[in-house]
Amino acid sequence: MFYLSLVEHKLLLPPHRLGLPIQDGIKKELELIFLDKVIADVGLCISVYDIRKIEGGFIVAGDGGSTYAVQFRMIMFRPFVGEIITAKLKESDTDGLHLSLGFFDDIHVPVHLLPSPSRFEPSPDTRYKVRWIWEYGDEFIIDGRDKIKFRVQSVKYPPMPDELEQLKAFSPMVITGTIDYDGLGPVSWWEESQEKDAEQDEES
Amino acid sequence: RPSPPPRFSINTLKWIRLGYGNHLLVYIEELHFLKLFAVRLSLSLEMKIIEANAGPLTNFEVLDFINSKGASRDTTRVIAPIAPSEYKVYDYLADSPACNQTREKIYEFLERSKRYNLAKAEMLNIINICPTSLVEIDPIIEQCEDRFEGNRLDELVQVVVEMFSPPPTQPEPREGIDEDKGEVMEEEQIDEDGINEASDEEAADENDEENAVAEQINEEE
Repeated sequence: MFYLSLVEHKLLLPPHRLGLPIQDGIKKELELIFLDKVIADVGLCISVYDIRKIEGGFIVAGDGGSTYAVQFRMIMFRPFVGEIITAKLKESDTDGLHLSLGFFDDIHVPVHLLPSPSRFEPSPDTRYKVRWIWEYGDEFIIDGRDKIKFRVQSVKYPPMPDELEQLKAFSPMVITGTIDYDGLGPVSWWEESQEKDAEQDEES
Repeated sequence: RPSPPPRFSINTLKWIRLGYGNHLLVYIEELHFLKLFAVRLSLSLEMKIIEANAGPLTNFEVLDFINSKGASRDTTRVIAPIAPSEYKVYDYLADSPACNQTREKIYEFLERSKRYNLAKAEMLNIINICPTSLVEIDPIIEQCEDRFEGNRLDELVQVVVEMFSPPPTQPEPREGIDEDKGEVMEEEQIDEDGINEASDEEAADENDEENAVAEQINEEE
């Protein structure tokens, strides 16, 4: 899920940070600029890991602080295709499932990547719009009680839209996942089959 | 006197999308100011990705990093130098198998799993997810049937269970070793029970395997 990325950035250290030791001041400024933001094709910035190089310290005419060129490493959230991740159910509607990791929300399991055959019905739980049910002999319900394991199908970074209305709902990083495989989906689905396997082992 | 170049208050930036070629796209959410524009680098804002992939990190390593900044010690969450977004990552990881792992266990797992010729992505997946049963490890391993004949996949699951099982709950004062184990198993979850019982049968095989590996290492030395 996480990678280190080496980044170089020229930043202006504003005057109110000049009292701190230089590494701390620069780190705070970097965190302010980058944390919880998405860099296209690199991922979501989680933390500043370390600072490798600081150069510069020039003062440009008209600025109150000094300008530095900083080389540093950041922890990035960037799942790879095929990664298995455990998430919570955030939304369940006719498009499919929307999952969340707490620190990252834009995970979508579209209808065609749910186990087949699946159907939906109005949800008794008011948090969600519909409730998805997998029909496989028994009925397996997808609800918010459990953690849900999914496999990453793709990670996309859609370009920024021009219109304002689209911007409000815009996500700069979108993960598409699938739960259409043995072992994926709500964790409780597979715990029951583990019990059955263990019982069979005992008998044999 | 020329007017100073415009500065945008960081507080009004909701998010930045930094594209290639060092162009900076900025979105500002202020009612009278709703514009999107590309700002060419000036000396004061210039970002370059030198290495997008400078190495993968296991969930454990990220949890360890945030912990080392003082996450677990500061219950108020105001004193330690950790941002709210970092705390969200911490909360997620503390609720995952990573919270029970140590660096030594991970290294040992990597050693013991070398013989299975796992891809790097598969090893990362296994360390982060800790599959403790066949059905959990199935989506992680590609071409299972071809690469893992017979019991080999079971063996790999056993290695995972041994290395990364959560610590047992506090044992009662000992009266006899067997009675002790019984109580611990009852307190654990039901699926753990199943695995522990299965592992007793496998334990004999495991010991043979371990002796073989040890002999191999000795021969190499």
